[in-house]
Amino acid sequence: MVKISLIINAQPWEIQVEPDETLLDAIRGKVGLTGTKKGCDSGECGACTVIMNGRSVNSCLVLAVEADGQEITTIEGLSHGQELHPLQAAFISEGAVQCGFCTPGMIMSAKALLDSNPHPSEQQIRQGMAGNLCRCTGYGRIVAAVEKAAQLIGGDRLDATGSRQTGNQV
Amino acid sequence: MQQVVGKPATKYDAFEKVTGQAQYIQDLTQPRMLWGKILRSSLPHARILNIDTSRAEKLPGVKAVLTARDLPRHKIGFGNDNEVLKGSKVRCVGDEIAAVAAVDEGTAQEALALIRVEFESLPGVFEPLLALSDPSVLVHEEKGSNLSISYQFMTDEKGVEAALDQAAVMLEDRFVLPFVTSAAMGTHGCMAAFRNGQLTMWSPTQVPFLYLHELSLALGIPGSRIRVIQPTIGGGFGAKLDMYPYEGACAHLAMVTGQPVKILFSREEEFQASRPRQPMLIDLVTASDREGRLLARKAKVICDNGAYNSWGSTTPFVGMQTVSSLYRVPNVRYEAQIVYTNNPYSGAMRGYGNPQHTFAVESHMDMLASKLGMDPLELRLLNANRSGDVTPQKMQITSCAFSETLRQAGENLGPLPSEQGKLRGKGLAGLIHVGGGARVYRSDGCGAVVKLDDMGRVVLLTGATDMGQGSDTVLAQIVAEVLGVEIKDVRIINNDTDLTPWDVGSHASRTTFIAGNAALLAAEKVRGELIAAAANSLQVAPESLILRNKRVCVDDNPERFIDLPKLIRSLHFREGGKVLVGEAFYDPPTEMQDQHFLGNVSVAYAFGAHGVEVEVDAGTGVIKVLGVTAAHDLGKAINPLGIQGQIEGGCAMGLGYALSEEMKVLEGRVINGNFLDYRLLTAVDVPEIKGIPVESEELAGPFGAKGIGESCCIPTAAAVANAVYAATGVRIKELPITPDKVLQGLNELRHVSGGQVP
Amino acid sequence: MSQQPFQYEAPQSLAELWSTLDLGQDGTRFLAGGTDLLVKYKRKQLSVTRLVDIKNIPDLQGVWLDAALGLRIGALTTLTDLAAHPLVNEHVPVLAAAASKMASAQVRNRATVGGNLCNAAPSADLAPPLLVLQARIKTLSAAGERELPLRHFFAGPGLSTLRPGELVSEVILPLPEGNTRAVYLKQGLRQAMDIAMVGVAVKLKLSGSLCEEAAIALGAVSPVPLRAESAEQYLKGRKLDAQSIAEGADLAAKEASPISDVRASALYRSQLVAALLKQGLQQCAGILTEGEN
Repeated sequence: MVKISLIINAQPWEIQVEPDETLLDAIRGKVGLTGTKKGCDSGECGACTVIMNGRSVNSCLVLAVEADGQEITTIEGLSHGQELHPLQAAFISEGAVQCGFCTPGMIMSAKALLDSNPHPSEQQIRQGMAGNLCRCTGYGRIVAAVEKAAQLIGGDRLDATGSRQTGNQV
Repeated sequence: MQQVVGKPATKYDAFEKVTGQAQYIQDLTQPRMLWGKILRSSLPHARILNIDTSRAEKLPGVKAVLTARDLPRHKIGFGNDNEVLKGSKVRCVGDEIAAVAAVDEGTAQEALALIRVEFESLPGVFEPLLALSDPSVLVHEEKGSNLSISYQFMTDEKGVEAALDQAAVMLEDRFVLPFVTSAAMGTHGCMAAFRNGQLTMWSPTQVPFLYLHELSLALGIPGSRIRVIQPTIGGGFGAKLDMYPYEGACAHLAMVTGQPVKILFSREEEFQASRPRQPMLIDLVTASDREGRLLARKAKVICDNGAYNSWGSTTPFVGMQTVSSLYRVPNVRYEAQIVYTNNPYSGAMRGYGNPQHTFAVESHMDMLASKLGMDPLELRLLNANRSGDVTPQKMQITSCAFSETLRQAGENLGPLPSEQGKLRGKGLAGLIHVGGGARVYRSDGCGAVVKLDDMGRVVLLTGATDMGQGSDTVLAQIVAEVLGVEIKDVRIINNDTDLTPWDVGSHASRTTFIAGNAALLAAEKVRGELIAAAANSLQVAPESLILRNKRVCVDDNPERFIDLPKLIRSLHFREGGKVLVGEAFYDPPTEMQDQHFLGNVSVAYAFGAHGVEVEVDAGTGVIKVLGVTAAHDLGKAINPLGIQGQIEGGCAMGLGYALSEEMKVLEGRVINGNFLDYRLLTAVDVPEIKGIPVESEELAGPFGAKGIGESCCIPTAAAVANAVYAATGVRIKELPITPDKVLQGLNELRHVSGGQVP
Repeated sequence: MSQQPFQYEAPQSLAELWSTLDLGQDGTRFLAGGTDLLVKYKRKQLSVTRLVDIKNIPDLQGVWLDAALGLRIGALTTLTDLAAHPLVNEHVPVLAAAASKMASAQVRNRATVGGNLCNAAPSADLAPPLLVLQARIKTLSAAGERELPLRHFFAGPGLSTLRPGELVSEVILPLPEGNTRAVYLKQGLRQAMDIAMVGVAVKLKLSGSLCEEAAIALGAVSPVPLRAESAEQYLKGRKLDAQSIAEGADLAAKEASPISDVRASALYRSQLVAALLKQGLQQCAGILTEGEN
């Protein structure tokens, strides 16, 4: 066992891990944050996506020991109390969630994408999310949700019916 | 005017899912829980001579090691041809030989490696045609043959042959369908706890009550001592229809150790040991007169069953409906043989045999149009079913907007203008599927209980399972509509057999229709009581009252009302008070098919059509799907937002079936059991999908609705094949339609025409 | 994971690395991005007794311009950084484009240039463009440094000519001359997240429509990524038109020795080489504008 220190969702953690334990297993098993999902354990489905030092990674392809001293954000770190991150709100309102198993990873990939490119085109969204497989939705609602979240984050706001109003309009 | 039904509703459990709080089987734990693992056969066919578990048992941390010796010898599975653990023979790679429970996953895994199994390897049979013709290798010796089940439906032998003789045009082709698999993102798993003679099983099953029944048979304990709890289900698509042998093993481990035990599938196990869609060979004959009216159809189908029977062994029930009843065809002969092999055993997967048969039938419709020189849409419209039709299998077509869906999806068919080096075209395919339940079991029913409490909270207890498709949202809408409350006031309890009334399960696109009708009936019973009480309290006639905004109010004078919670309290808190509970069991007025496969199995049938536009690179054969138009006769869209999700997701699955998915099985072993080599389409690959709900208002459906869940993945592959043909002139009759096959087809055409094809 | 876990070390400098590295020990592996290594380890295709994480060693990082040698790319440069780096985009945009087509954003954020080469997959996407760019590999070991042309680096599927205890420290690219255009075309069965059935890199030095120099490299069609030398010879000094392009493409296809596997048949791979190369030559010659392949 090796002791590592890392920051997860702005909270410092010290945990004991095996040298070959993945960050995914450590987050789920040692830290108890089960929102991050194991879909393939080979970096091929994206369900385990978390953000490490500002970049999206497959947490199944990062050893926990590699994450020593790093800063991690998981799906649990996006909402504050009952207040959802715009991506989470948009995934709900646009119908981007079905079985939900891919959803946390999808949202984390989308967050990494919007953090680096706040106004992506549809094609850029599809490219940016290509590492996250979904078997239920066919991606259309997910792309719509990311587009809507980009608008929300970009200062636009939604009226009660969910249609877009820009801040400048009277 | 409906307040809730017909309006977009966000998913009932989306908040839990977007915040990472939804609990899937992977996320559940129990105090003192052990980890179970299954030792699986690495050989496709072998006799087990000896199993030595002694070293595994001695490994520190191991709590139990079970083999067939330790278990009651109950046969399990749909055809009673399977066992929880195999004691004498393995029949496919992945067959369960031993089960281990240990204090952690690593120890359990280590223990597996210490179990020594002595095998006598047997020759295997992997091709269904060979399995039928050569009895030297028998998957189940006691059966004397590798033929598991055969199906035959015939209108009238002489009629079929006479029609073929008269036909102006007759086509005969073989269509080949590969293994594909559900590949739900949430892998299989279960957790068992056995306390004081009572088993609690946590399982992502789609059919909790049938599962409970099968579990009781497998374990030899009364079903009355079993409780099944479903965690959030990470996708099902049919693969979670059967009870799996490992689940029986998990329960046994829990009984033996007295501790809760959990078993999870790895992705690799998911590929090798969950139930894929059957590969089929379909020999299809289609005959028509000169005007294009269908005269006869014959189909001979060989299904690769794999090593054991499962629910999937009954998929010809559904496939034959497409052959006999998608279009008006008076003379039909259908035969299917379900053949044992040493391959992974097939099961149910979205569409239940229909995607395979529709690929054949709808490819043939285009080939027929081409031969007749007809427009493919016109040919289909000429032969399309209409309301009031009774098909050769005695299916009664009620609501039917098939022609409308064909028109909506079938604009601009044929070759399309394109850039140099590219070939564009558009193809069409239609579908029929059950849309009002499917009586494949003694009951096609679902129970519902609606309960109201003193604060106005409404609880629906339903047997219906939501595996992600969104049925809980639809049920909440229905109940909210009837009782005049908001969706947020309705709580759905649908995952615990101790609490929920019986349901046959989530399959056959039946949940909105069947569970929706049950919920509707139960809610209406409560509504009746509320109206009666309010009429008494307000001193008005019951007919003048409506429920809206959590009030019972006078229809033409909304100022006269009584608040719902207050009304409920007035019923509770008085002498002779009562709770407000309404129950219903909806079992549709249908019949099981008789031995001749005649009978109206569903109250209503769903129709639809997909139009697909593709662009093919003439140099590489690479196919790019430019767009899909998916028009579906779904009766009524209760939740238009959910419908879009179902249609888009179904089309994406259909496109994968058409273009990129194939589970490659070599001598019984899956050789591409990972997501790099088993290619689900990504966000970049799936084009814009235009879903068009066509509402035909089915009178028997809740608010007019019919089922949609499976329909939306059924015709896509055929539409792609027809589009590729329209673009290139290459007819692909074997899925998936890879660039390799298209390019070889193009080269053949170039050869034939002396190089003049682009 | 149920295997005997390995020993993990993360030296902070080359000096620390060499002082602790035990060359006598089998199963010592260098860890960079880990996106290939950890998958192989989990699938028990690779035994690891000691894992030496080299990510913290500063000498292996960075992208910079060297007046004498050209563009120098540290082995630890991630695919994301390679795709986005201004110097890479300015001088060798084909490399940035190839990197951006690989795997997923998550994998590109971890996977490194050095790792992609050391993994030595016949389908490695960086290999064909680096081959046509005449890349050289710099290696380091306790014994010192070594430099070799990339085409001498690959030894077979999964095999390189690295010696025990040696690691790739950087990739050195001479700056392409003027009038040079290069493309990398890759074909998988999906448009993203796929391993190439065939990858083709083309670099042409043009004078009008005359091809002064041609460099062509093929991936996934032989045990190692290779240069299609007879096609290069044929095109050199020739006017690029439909006929010479077709002829060059066919020659290259003949140089390929593909296998049939779970991803594609050998026949189709050969045909794909010709088809992609035709597109690549046309794009480079300016007959077609750059497509989205």
